[in-house]
Amino acid sequence: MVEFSAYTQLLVSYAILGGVYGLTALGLSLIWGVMKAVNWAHGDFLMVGMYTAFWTVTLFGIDPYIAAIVAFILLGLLGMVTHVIAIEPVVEKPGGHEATLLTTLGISVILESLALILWSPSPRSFQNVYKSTYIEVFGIRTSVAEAIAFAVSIVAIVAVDQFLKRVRIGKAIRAVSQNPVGARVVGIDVPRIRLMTFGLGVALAGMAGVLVATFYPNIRPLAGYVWDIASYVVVIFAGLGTIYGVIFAGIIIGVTEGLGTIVFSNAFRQILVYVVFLTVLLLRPQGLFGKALRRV
Amino acid sequence: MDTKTWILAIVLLIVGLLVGYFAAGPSQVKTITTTKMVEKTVTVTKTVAGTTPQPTQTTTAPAKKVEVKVGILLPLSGGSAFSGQEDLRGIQLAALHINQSKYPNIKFTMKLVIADTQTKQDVAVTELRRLAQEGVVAIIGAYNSAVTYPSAAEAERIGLPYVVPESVSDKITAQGWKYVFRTCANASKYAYDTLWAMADIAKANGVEVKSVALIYENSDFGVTTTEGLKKYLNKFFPNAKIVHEESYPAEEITSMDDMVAKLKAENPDIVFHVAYLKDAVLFVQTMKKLNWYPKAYVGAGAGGQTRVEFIEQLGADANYAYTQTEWQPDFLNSKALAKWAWINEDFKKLYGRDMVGSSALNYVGTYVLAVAIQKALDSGANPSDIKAFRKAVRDALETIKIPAGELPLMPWGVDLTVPNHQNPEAAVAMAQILEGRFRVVWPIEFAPVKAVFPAPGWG
Repeated sequence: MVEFSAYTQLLVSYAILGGVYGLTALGLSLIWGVMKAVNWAHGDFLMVGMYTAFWTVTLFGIDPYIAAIVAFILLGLLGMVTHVIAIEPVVEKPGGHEATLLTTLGISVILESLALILWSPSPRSFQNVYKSTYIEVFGIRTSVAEAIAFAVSIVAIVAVDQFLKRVRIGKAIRAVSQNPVGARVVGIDVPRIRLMTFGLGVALAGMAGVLVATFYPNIRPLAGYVWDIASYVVVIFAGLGTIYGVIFAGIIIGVTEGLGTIVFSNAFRQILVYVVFLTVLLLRPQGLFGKALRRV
Repeated sequence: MDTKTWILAIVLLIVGLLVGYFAAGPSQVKTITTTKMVEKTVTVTKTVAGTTPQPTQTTTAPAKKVEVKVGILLPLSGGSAFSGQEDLRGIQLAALHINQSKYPNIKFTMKLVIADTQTKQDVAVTELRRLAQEGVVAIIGAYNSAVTYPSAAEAERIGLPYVVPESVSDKITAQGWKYVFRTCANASKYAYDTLWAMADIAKANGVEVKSVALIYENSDFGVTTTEGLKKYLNKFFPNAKIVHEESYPAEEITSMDDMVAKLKAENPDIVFHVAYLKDAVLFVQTMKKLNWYPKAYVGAGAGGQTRVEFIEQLGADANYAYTQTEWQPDFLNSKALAKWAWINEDFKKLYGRDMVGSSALNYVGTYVLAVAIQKALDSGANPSDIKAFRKAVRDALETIKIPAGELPLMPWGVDLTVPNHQNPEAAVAMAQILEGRFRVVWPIEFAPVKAVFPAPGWG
């Protein structure tokens, strides 16, 4: 039998994992929840972030957390280019939000294929001290890399929330998400705001990719897939448009996964998550932290 | 959506698919033209022949040889792409050596027609039919047991010889199929050899094994190998109990803390883990995080732990892990196998590193098929009568018996005369990672070093 202290260890481990889910979901939440565009290539941007970490660390020998800043900037630019090619031309058309699903699917296939051409399917990794150095508090042990990813997750979520509430551009993003026509009437450059939102969402995905790569093995063209699925679940579970919600939703999903595996077995890992997920959606279709839509 | 939106979406998808098509590179696209393949072969021939003249090389201009097409069915994209690439390297090197007349007993030219299964069963079956239409005389494939099985069933249906050099699931050769032949060991044999090796190693080190745990990924590979472990456990460890058994989905797993915590609580002497690469690395990382290591951590089934990336990703933390291995450079230090060192040298010249189990197994499978094709040619079968020639190749495969020592690279032989066409001589060695290298520790006659058992733990 697993001892009580081991249960505590596992709950903390899975809460940390859930926090990382929150981080990987943050960019998606911003694009999907705030901008109402479905970014099917989210996992692929995570993957590009992972490769950015691999190349910057192995070629230049820099610290992976500096690589996270590099990835934030590079992926931000890549996101803006993607927006110009695949989002802006369709988003205002009738059925445009649904169309983004198709256009970003195309971007997803392109990114995966380019990764295969440029970097081959061979799995990569980089050595870093953070994943093999451990913190131990009250007998609970975790790697420094996971602890940093969790901490960055919280900081990033607070920062994005405050950015949306207090900074002028952030307020403009919220205005565009709530009422694009009204925003245009009051003089907001709506296409520019959408460009910046998509860029920021992809930049956050890139940064999350780097942080995941510091402790999770196997950087390869399909590496974003597993985190992509978790991100979608977290965003829907939290409710579209909620920023703080993703961290709580991530932690709930992480801990539920953990409970499923500890109490039952790995076969229940996903079952329990989706039972909780579906129950919440049935009781609160707007998500755990989302606001209900009002019929007009 | 309006017309422009649809057009943009379709253009993006087409661009994506085109990029995807070329992503696999010239040797991996679904259809390889004759010219492209010949060009590639000639280039490689020059590289190798220019640097290492082999004793079997002829100096006179060879007579024009018969060309025979062989279909290669491998995962060159999708989840198992990196394994498929490694398999392909072994097959291409074998074809190169055959075409360079490195084996005087084989006198035809082998032309490879390569198809990508995308690690999908339906795609594999469709591609196999396409290869059959292109006139291949036999198939080599298809890495994933779950993909090999339906494609082999289709090959049986259409009467196309199918050589399986690496997929291990028992059921592939348990159907009584006439056209399907496996040169490597099956999952049960992998399991049998794992237990045999660990029992010998434990005995040699004076360690009594009282408890074991079985952890496995939940696809065909993990399930069948673990079934074998359970079947033979009592034969080799009569006093050992299974204290924990758990499976997991390898592709979706993001954490293994729960499994390691349960194992830590049960503290088994040996953990047998059937895994792919990512989950094997994650498992060892988690053992270190939770500060626990069994007396022996054993990668059964020659999965992820046998890959060089396992050591690259874990660094020193990979030390003391055992892994089943079909082939290691250590083999070439033995008297019996030293004569095959030139094959590995050629591989190193082409790819910059030693062969691994996958490339070696596929090299051997290709060689065995080539011997059978030559037998069919010698019997007077005409390659232009494709249906009759396939039957002749099948008949020849059924007579193949190559004793240990005559088969390239491997310490075992091949006997396909048995009713189920499962080579009973194929065996699997055990290696331990010591000082960042795979070292063969069993069978003892191929072991340059002694196994460390029990492992020292994390210290």
